[in-house]
Amino acid sequence: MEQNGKPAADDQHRVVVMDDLSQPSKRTVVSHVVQSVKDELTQIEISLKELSSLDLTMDKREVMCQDASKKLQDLERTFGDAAEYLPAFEQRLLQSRLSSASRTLAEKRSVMAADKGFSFRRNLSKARPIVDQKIGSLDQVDKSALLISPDMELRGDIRQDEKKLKWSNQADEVTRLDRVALKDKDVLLSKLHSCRIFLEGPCSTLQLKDLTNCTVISGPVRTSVFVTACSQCTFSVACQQVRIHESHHLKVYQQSSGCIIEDTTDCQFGPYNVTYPRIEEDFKEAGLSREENERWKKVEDFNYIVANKPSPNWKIIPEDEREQFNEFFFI
Amino acid sequence: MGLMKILKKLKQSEKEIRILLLGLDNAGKTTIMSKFCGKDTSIIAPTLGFNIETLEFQGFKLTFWDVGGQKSLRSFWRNYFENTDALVWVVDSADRLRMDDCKRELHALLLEERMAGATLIIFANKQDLSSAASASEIAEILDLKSIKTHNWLIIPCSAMSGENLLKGMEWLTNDVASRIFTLEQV
Repeated sequence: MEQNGKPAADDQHRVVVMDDLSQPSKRTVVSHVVQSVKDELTQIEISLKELSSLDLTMDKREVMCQDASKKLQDLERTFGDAAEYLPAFEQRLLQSRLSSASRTLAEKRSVMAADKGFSFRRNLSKARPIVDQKIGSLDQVDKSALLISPDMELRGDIRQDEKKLKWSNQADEVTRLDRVALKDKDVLLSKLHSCRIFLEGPCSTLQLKDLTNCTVISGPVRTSVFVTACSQCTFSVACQQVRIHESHHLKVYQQSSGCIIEDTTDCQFGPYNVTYPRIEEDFKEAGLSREENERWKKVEDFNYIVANKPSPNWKIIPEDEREQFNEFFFI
Repeated sequence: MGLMKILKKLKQSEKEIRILLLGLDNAGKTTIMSKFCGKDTSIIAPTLGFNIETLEFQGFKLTFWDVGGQKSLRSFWRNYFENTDALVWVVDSADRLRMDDCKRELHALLLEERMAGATLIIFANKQDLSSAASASEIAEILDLKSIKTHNWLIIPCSAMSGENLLKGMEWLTNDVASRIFTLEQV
């Protein structure tokens, strides 16, 4: 934690604490750490509040933001070091307070970014290659860089992409794939324009890339659905996770444990809405259950992490505008 | 801060290993951590920020830091570098489209001073997917042979089934332990 600019009383308080701890039991150390983390956190929370309530200049706000961010980082580190010593309840409590402070900070930053085109930059200029003294000789490195293989069923090196079901570079096509074609397949649909695709069965994973003006209706997917650079499309998917990147003007009907968007605008979301004769079986096959809950509404926008405020980049499709899809959709 | 020094002493006497899990988004970092810690892996949402788990393993206390891999979070990775004993780099073996991104991010990470000396294990995850690249293929694509600054190992695994997670963690723990704890009795 920062030593500079702290009121003297605080330091004194610490000194007293240190004396008390000349023969520390783990418990006392832990409770003091918890207390000091809480105190620091309260300070940060207060300054984050000030950040929005006070009428400050841009520079001043940025300084405060940086300061808060530095303190928060230090705190996260302290917390991380201490985490395992903390009672589960305290751990959870502090972690949730820490993440909510991070969120608030990110919120302030994104507001500031909107004001002045602020961007996070990767600072690689400082990093330089290390000549490591510890590892030393080359043989040592090579010896350790082994591939564990004998008893581990490293599947053959020549794993062709034949197991991947690829469909790309098409326009104005209508396609339907059945469960036999899809079973245990990793599906990649890319560079398609004005196509309509019905995946009537369970697949392992689904990647959608560079699609424009397409409709993709899918049965349950065992793992994740990954969408990149699509626009003017309608997707309907059920899976573990949905991630949407660099896409625009999408309508997504989904069911998942979590759906996020990043660098994406003008998205609309609705609940998964597909039926076909053996879909229940496919849900089982994919290890998913059909959900009637509201989780589909919980979409997170990584470019707009603001507590309790919806992102401007997506919205919910009004109930009377939601579509339903079934096996007759393409006929 | 004085309290932390005391905690650090405790940490040494309790043989703690700090492990950082990184990799592109959708690689399976959280699933690997949850599976290894014996938690439910059926409901895992994309990580918004970070998760921490601690557990005892082979007489060591492992603290896992699982940090989100979304592009917008990667610039924050560096906040977690300090005191890292081991880096777990997770790769989605079936995501061939982004292997170049994966390589670039990994090699950039290894230039970090604060990561110097950290043990590196690469989990070639999602081997349960039929189009997954093999570990040796990935070693090739990621140009692992060029890494001379870290002690490393690549291992194929599946976070879904748990295959090879234990083996990987054993190697990692032993490697860190031999580096950090050998000089002390205990």
